[in-house]
Amino acid sequence: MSEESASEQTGYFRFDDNAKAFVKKLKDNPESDNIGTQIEFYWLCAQLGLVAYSKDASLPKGPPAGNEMHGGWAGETRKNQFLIRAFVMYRYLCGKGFEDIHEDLADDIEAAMDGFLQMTGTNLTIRGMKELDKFAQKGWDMIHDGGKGISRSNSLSLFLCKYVDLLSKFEN
Amino acid sequence: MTLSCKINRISWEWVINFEEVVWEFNKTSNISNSDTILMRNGTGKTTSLKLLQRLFSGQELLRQKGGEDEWILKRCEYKGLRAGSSPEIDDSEMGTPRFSVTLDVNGDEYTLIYVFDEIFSEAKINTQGPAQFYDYYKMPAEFTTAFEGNLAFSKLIFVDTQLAGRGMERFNKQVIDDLFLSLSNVKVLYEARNTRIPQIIDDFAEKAERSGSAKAMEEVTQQLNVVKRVKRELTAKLDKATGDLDTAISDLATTTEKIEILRDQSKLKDEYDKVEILRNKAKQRVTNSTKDLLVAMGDPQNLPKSLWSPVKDYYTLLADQRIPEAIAREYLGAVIEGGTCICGEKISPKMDKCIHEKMEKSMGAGVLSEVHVLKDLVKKATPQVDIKELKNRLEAEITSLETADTQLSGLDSQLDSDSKDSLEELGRNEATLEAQITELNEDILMWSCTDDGTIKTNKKKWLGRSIKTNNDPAEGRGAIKECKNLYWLEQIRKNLSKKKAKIAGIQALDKAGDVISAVFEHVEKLVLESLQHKLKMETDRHLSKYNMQNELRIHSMDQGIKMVDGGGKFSQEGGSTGEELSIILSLAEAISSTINLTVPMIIDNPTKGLDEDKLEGVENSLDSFNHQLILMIYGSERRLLPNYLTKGKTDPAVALRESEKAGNRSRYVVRYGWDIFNSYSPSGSDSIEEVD
Repeated sequence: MSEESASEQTGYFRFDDNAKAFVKKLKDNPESDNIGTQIEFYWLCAQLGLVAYSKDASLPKGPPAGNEMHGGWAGETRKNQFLIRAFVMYRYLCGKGFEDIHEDLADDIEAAMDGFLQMTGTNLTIRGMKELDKFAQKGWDMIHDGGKGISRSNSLSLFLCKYVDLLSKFEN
Repeated sequence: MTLSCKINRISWEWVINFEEVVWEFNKTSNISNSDTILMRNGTGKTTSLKLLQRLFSGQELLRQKGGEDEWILKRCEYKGLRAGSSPEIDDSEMGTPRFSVTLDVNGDEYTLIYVFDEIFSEAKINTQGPAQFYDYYKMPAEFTTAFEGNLAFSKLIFVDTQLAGRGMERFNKQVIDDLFLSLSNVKVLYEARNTRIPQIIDDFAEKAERSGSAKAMEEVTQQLNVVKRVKRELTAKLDKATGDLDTAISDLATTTEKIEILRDQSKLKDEYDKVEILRNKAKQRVTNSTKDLLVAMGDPQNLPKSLWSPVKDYYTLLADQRIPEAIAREYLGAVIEGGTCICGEKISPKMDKCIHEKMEKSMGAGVLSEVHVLKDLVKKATPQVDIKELKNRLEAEITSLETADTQLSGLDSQLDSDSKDSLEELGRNEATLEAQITELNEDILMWSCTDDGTIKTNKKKWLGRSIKTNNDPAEGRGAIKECKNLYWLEQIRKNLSKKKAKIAGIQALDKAGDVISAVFEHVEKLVLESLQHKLKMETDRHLSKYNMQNELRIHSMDQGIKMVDGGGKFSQEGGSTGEELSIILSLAEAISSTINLTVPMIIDNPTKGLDEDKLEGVENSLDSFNHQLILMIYGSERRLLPNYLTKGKTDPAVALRESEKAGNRSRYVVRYGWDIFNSYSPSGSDSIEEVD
């Protein structure tokens, strides 16, 4: 068992302030529908980051302290949390060099998983949360694209249409 | 608690536009539990409603306080016969301004009276009980438990429809928690642990023989004084902002209605009606599809196949031969110990070795139990919807909405220049009010939020230096002054109280206070949970008789009232006026059947700002309500509720001046019955400027 999982950990997801401001921009527009909770948008960003990683295998740093987000799975992410964890752990394990699974790697893979998952809270260790933070940052960077991206949308409906287009670019 | 409360009479004396007027419930018949009072626009319906809300909760009014108090007192100032180009009376003929409501409370009659001073700078409350008069608010315990200091509750049951449709703000956590605290009789415990116990400990600390230094004692006392001062300031700001928010929402509703009226009064009314119907439908479709796409996109199994299948493939191989060590040891150990293989054969030494080897290989980390859950779910994951098809549908609906918007702008541009100018100005007002409402909501959240995560997420702005880098409450006087959140301020106070108790050498008493507070909190929690559970079930039961869109029902009550559709799939933040009314009416009925608390409901302008297609829903809601119901309407609302405003369903009354001729106006009177109700038409315009 790795050192990190010796006891259950509590932490907060961290999310770029500009991304939070985008959620607020939609909320402040009375003509727009709203994203239910901030973490639902965080996940949309992370999902895009996870998908995009397959092309360039690059990850930015996660947001620093001070960018903590209201913790825990909420809204639709509560329902989808298992598949969310499965997706991010898949990327994490591949990133650790466990792309191919061999029987003789089992102990090493499990040690990596043990440092990533836990049984309480978000079911992610702080390492797991930080890993997801990086993918969310990657996704947000693409959405924002230096101010020229799809975050210029003023309504959720337009944003989602463009999000699907952006995601589709990574299809084989 | 058993409370049966009904309104018998409302009296106006030299307030708003009224001279001396009395309206009585069921004056002409008692066949129904509903009365409808018709008053022309601008008479004072909304002001009367606000007075009733505050009278019930025992809140005296002071213009100096600003906010809603100032707004109400300004509106209460008597204008009536002394206003206009030919006033019929002068100031010396006016009597003492008063507004009162007479109630039947568990069979006894009580009258709550607002007495205004001459310049309407304040309104004091007097009470006439069954046997005695009091020059203050004095109601029986069953009544005060539910209403005193609980303005949110009286605002909930005395409904100003202008505030409807704002994302269920009426049912937010603060309102619902306060309501339940009062209704469950545990407010006294809440007050004890939050105010009384800390106060007792503080008093003891002041008198105790110190074990710490006088300087340390002085410093912590000063810090606690700063906490008290900051708390007073934040509470005052919060109260004012809450009142300002109601006013801004009201103003916004009026502005939106003015826009509607301006369009309706133009020659293009028919075209506007058609385009607005199209636009509303297109907007609804966009909203529905946006929700669908948002839900679909949040679920990874809906990703295009090529993006999700690598994950799926990976998990089929992951931990293929491994299970948690403890399970492997127990399961295979049991097989060996039993002496019989799973195939049924007796275990030979060779087989024993083979099983031991298998056991060694299978013994994985404990985390594998979670991994196997993930594996199972990933394996079962299949796309639930085609996100590209959903996206295409949404794009088409956005185009329809844009087309309707363009048509609407086209019609606006055909208006005459005066109307166009007015429309532009109203549009600007609307945007300003929307921005003001957003800002007020943000401030209110900052001051009142009690969620630790949300507070820390916003710590830069909300807490400043009052939170240390290790996330503990800071104690320095300068740092405390930067705190803008009442919950966090309470954490600071608790820390400082502990410190003070330690210096004073009364830690044992302080600990005893903590224990008692914890017991009280536990009792509160249990009682509230039980009440929430019962009320949720009862409210849902009553709600089922209302015609709710998407079979809307209560999802939970612990974070305010949260709604969900019949399938349990979509949580709903907002509701139409009809839906909000149905929820309020159901909640009132549930309260009555759960805790024997029967209260009247008043609805001001039930059709205000409502699309015609929602009127039937409002009529159904009103018709299904079983307790005392009082509607306050203005002239043009009569034609909008034709199925409800009929004999047998409600008793009608009209407050009117029988002569409205300038210079010869008569005093206000109340007339009862359908003849006057149906035939009354106020002279002059019923214009929106006069709506009150």
